[in-house]
Amino acid sequence: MKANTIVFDASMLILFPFFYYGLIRTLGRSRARAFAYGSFLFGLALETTFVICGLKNYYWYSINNYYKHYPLGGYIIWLGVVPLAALILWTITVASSYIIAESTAGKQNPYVRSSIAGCIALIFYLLAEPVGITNHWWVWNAKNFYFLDIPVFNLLYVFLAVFVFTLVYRATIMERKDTPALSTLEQRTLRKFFVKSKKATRNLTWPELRRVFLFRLALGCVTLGAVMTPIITVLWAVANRGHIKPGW
Amino acid sequence: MANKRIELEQYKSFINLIEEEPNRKMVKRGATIALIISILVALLLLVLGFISVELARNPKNILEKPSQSKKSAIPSVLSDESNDFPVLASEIPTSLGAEENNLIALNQKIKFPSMAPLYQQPGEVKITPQKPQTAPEGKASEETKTEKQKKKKKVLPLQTKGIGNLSNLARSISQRGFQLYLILLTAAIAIIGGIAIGRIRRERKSH
Repeated sequence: MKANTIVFDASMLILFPFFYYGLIRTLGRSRARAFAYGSFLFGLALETTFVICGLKNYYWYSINNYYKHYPLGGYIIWLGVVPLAALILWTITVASSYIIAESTAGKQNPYVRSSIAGCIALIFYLLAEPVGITNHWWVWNAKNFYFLDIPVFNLLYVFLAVFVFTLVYRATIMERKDTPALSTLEQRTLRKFFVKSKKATRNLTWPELRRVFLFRLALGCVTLGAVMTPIITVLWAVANRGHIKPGW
Repeated sequence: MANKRIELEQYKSFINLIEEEPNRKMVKRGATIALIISILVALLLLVLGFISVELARNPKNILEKPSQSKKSAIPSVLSDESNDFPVLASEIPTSLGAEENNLIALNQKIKFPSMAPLYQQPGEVKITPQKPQTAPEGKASEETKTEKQKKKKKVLPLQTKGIGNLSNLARSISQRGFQLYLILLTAAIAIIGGIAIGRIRRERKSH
């Protein structure tokens, strides 16, 4: 028996409003909104990169005969080449990991908290990936080293992505910190063109703070890409499975 | 008045702290809702995983192509090149002109889809297209063969082995490896979520 994409898609679309309601009550309206669109955009950028680079695809149901039954490739809503349901799963994972990390290790330093959040997200994805792969909700194409048919780089990516996102969100939105390592870069780019203010981050208005958050997330994406590229290359070299062409 | 309006405009862009710093009761409820939903998502994945156990046991499932669309009853001449369709002797008229014979000859070369055997009737003579004769193999062709074999050896299989293969897990522990794996991870998520909810409640009581 097969759990078709429509089951996954519909259940995600039904559960997300309740989850978001809980998130609003936990973080506050604006912060929850920032968390939701931040994680959506972050996930969308990374997933789109995966699909464009031919490492992954969501099109199994949109090929040949299935197209008659699942006109949009089984998914109701697409954001470019990535279905919304996959991003909802990502957001639920990131947010619940963040809440668990904050409640269990709230007094630890931010790196420890972010690592805990990353580990919890990893457990979530170790559960979701085999189910998704078995039912062809998504297909991994990459020539790589696989564990239970999940590419190992994906497990590392989930941990690192959640680590980076949690770190950026906590530092920017919750604590409104200035990071000395980024200050020069921010002064030369963001503060010069997009946020025309030289105030400390804690004194910025909410729209300005949102811009700082998005800028830092973009930097996080680039850093993650720079870290992941050599890892993917090394795992490519010691691969135990060949490359599957996206469209067969 | 104008200054007051400007102040109010500026105030709009700041976060409403009353709204943004929800009280502890609200946070507790919100976190509980969010964590219960995430546990529900894990349970949903567990159920969907249980539904698809048989698929997980099939080692070729991951590489399985989506089923091809059904061909129409009248085969399209140009659609498929992989299968040769046998021409039935009964279909060839006995008295034919040169042009018609040429058409039949052309028809023999045309390739038809895989449903061809459906058209064959018992006792009928098949006229199968002849395969082109191959040139005798020389040393050069042997060399190319060995090169091809080497290339084939280098190409990685599309099916993983050992720990890399999900079906091995699914078929282990008396065919229940995948179920146990899913139960273990769902339980881990539920326990972690439960601990977090407990911490939030205790925190509230202590304040």
